[in-house]
Amino acid sequence: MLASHGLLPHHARNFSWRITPFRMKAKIIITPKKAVLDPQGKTVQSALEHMGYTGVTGVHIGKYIEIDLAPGTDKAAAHKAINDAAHKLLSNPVIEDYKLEIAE
Amino acid sequence: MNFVVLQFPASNCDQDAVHAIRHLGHSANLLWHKESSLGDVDCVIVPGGFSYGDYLRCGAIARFSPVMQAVKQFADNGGLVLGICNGFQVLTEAGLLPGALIRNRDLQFHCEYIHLKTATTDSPFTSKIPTGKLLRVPIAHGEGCYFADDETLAKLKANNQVLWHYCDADGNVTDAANPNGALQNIAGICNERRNVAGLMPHPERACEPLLGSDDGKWVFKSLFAALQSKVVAQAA
Repeated sequence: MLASHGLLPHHARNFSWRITPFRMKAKIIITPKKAVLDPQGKTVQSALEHMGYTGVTGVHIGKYIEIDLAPGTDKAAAHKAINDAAHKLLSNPVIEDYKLEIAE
Repeated sequence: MNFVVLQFPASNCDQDAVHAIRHLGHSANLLWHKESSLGDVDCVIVPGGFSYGDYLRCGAIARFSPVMQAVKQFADNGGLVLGICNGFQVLTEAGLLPGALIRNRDLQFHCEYIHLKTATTDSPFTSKIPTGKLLRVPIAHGEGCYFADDETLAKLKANNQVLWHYCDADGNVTDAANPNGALQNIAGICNERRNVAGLMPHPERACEPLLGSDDGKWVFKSLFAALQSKVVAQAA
């Protein structure tokens, strides 16, 4: 994939299937806390109801962040570091909850 | 008195704050966010704007600017810090003020004059506001809805930390006079130590009649008085 985007030198392109690095990603889903007003969620919920979608009891709108990690990163260490970052920067614990997953 | 007004990428009320303070007869200078020292200052203003494009969350990235370390230290030493609009958001993100500012309940950006009722004059930010005087000042924000959990709200109330509520022209704190859905109509608060405050409205944009209102000057006059008494106290 890297090669098809021209990010690797020309001679590597033909062999990209051999050298495509092992990819690891941190996936973080951030949602507003239950007690926090979520006007976007409310608006979308009422739009869904107007469109005739029944049985919708709540809509919560948050954020999804994907972080590419260097090949060979230690999974446990990455989890610890990104968890720390999610707490300090990626989410605001006063108003948001997050779920973190390290995917290979 | 020597004020410093921080300047982040996309701050846009920094010049207004400098102008207002100079107009009211004191010294104010801009300080770029990459600076790690505040220098010899009496008061820090964290101005309005859209620091770092409001990316991620308003104020979330600005709080990690080098200058914010210095501001934190300044505040820890009892220095006076006032955050206006985006500055309020930066101070909550930095943990210098409790709670958070979230999206306005109607999802609209509000740019209008509102009225503020001062909840207490027991602070360096409100001490000179005449009794019963409502402040007619502008707001300009999309994310000014103050939120804090029940425990934090109870603490704010118990410690008299709410400084201003949104009210109507007659001083009634009503839901109709709440422009953004802020809990309990809270427009501005201070920390427990009462040396750090933040508010969503813009007093610096309302310091001369030519601009439509000069009610904002009372906030700055309160600061001047607080700093003056500090100087006197230190000299004594």
